[in-house]
Amino acid sequence: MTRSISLFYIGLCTAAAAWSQTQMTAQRYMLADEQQLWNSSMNAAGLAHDMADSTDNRGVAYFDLSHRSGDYHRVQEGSQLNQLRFFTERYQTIGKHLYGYGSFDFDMGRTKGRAWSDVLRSYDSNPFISGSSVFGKYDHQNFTLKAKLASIRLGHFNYGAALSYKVGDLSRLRDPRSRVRLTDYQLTPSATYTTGAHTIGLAVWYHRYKEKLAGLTTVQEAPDLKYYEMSGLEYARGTAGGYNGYWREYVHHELGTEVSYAFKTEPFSSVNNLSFRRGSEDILGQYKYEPGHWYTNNFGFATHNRISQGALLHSIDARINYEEGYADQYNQELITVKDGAYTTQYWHNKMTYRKRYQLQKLDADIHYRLSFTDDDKLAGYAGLGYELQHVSNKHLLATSQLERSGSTASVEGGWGFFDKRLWLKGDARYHWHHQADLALSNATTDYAVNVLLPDMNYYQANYWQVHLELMYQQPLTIKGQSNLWFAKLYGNYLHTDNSLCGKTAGLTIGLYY
Amino acid sequence: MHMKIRNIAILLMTTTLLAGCMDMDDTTPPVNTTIQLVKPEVLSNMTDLSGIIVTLTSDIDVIQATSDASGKVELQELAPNTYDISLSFELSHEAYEQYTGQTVGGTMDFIVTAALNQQVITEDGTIQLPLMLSPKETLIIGKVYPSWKKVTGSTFNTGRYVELYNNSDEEVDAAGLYLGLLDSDSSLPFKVYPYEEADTPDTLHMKQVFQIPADEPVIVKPGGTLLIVNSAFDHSSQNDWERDLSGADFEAKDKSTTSPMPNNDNVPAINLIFTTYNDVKSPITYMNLVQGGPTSLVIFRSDEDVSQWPQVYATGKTTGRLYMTVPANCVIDGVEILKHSSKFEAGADINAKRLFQQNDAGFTFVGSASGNAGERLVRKTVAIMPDGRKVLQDTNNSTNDFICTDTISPRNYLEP
Repeated sequence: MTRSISLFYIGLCTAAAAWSQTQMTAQRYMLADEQQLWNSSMNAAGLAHDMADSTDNRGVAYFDLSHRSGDYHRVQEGSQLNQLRFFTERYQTIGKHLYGYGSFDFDMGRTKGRAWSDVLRSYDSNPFISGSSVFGKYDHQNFTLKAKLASIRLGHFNYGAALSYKVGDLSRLRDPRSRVRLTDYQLTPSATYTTGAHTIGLAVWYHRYKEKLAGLTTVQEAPDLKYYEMSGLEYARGTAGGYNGYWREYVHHELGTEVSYAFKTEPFSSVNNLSFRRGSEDILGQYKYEPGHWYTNNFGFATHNRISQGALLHSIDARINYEEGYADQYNQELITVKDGAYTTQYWHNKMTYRKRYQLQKLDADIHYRLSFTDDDKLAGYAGLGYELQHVSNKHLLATSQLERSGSTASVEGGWGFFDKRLWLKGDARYHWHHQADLALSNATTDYAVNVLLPDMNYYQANYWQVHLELMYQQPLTIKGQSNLWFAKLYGNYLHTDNSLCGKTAGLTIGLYY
Repeated sequence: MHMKIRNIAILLMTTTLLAGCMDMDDTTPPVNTTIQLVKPEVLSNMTDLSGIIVTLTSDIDVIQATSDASGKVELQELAPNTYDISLSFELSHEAYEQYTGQTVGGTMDFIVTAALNQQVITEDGTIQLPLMLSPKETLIIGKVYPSWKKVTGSTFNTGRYVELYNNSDEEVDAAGLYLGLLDSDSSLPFKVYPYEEADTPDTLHMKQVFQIPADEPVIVKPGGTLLIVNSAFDHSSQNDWERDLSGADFEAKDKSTTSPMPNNDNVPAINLIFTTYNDVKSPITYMNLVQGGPTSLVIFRSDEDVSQWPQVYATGKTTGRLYMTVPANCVIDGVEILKHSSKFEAGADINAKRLFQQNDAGFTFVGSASGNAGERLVRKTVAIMPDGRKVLQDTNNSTNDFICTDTISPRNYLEP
């Protein structure tokens, strides 16, 4: 019996090994991901540099089912999330002159125990949001399509273009019932110029984000139910029945540019990106009411470096991103003009508070990974990382401020067993909060009492976190089509020093093709 | 060549980085404002204006400051905003005689008020705040229930009422007193605010006028109330927000022939003097208190035959509803109840005011925009006298004097 099992196992491994020589596998996919440095750039023309070195067309598709719960969360994030996601992507050589990439991402889910935000961006963003104080469930659906095209080298140049398109929907399932619709797209033409081992790249893009909240309804009679309009930190105005006829539209326009420099020799390759984005966001209500206007600047620098040393691949990545934003707040009055039988209403701006709400956010991280390779496959890896974040939210006249910072150190590792059919991956991290200061000019407002003060437990927490995942690959032939399917189980556990915890568990089933 | 590429890359990156940081210090600065109290000529002997508390109310804050002897109130580092500025203080009849050199001829006290609504303060400067002197009323509007509670399966709205309160320490005879309900059209028929642009200065326009019977005394004791209802029955079984109104003092009888409101024959009628809703079959003869507002009201006295006072159409119209004109100076007390709207920082559109400053310098509203949350407006209590009588706040500014609650019962008032 034991001998039979051994023979069966050997046979399976042999079959899988033979498969892995010819077809796409997780270990080949992961190594390709690790080596394609232009992936991290906005520059679609860089796709040609990544794919020129490989003849592999590759793709992956999977369903992912996950559950998140626990009490380590902020008020506006919800206490529980159940989510189903379908994702597929493919890198493909198109004819003799083009390289292509496309992805489709669909996710749907339900968040429970969420309140005080009916919009998609609750934190560190436009302060003119709205929501109900009553905790409820929210359903979301998002569809994201991305496509990149890059030309082969034409002289010294590669040309490329990327399109990203996303539509989304967030619906509240409890009175007052809101529905947010999102349309988000970005168009990014780009080019690279290469001479010898040096490449310089330039990408520019236009990004439009439109989020519309309209048509709030109630099913039950609760006329004293309040609806809140926020204007930064503790300042929020609650109106009984205020959801009647309420609508809000956020239209964000952004222009960005990224300059890249890459260097490539046999043992060493490097891609470095410096980006700048500038955004301007209209916030509109009924009769073109404008509570304010939101402006953003974003500076980013990222460096990705790879050093090949025989069967070892060293990855050294670092990234720093600084975002600053401010909101001008308008003090407007509704003017009604009667002209015979016609009545006209419009909003008159009595005054503008320049930069009344201010955001500054710094994110930085550095990451090192040592990958063990076996020909064109990844055998395993180990790594270290360190992340730093500092965020300041400030409201002027009267002055209130929420300032928080923290850092996270992590170790990671993964190894493929049984001829790399079984992958065990994990990481562990520890987070220190360095600063979590909330200084409010009025700490008794509804929003302060119910959102800002409870959220301090989140910001003041130090925590450790462990993530483990186990993935198994199996070739399967369905209707004559053979692919390598995989199933992945993963879990995440987080525990804080103030006795909060967060748990995530998930199952992924998919295939490489 | 390679060095050139690298230099170009560095140059482009540097240019990108320098594309522009935001100047976060270029913010709207706070302002320094002086409020100068301007006393009326009649108070010519009042030389010391120190210690008067001025209140500034904005959408995010309530600020109080005190005047100096010359009547100046200095406000440093004030956030630019739209403010309602108000003050009030009492003058005893002795102080009145001292400051005016005139004899009151009794023990009537006076009240000094001032109000500037929706004052936009965006830069340093001085604001003149004129003081207004008026007799301190004894009978005031203490409570108004213009709303109702919307409960699933029920649209019960017959429990509305108005309650008058004797805020003095002497008995008051309310016989012959008029109760006027001002127009409540969504499209303002008469412009009142800004006061200097009023269509008809010093004239109010009523959609309904009632009179407490004058044929016999109607004595209201100190701290006593006069409950005027539309339907004098016990409505408390309807839902948690309705109350027992069977003990009301007066009832506005519904004379409609189609589905009239139930009336209690044991409760005397308040006489209907005028109603603009005079349809033959379905006249509105009960108090047309509008849920959510606007539903402003006044009490007034006159020795004239009020029913003969002029009735006019809305400004610029020659047809439509008629409104009875009432001189603003005969009003004893008024409460401006506007429709709540979150579109306005102050909670309601001040341009929809129906009352002049001398009647009500501010305005109030029920919290629910639709007016169906069972809310009532009640005057705040400022003190309880040794005999247990509550003294209600009467600064001639309902913004300060009234609060909205859904729990208070008839003839009861809040604790100070």
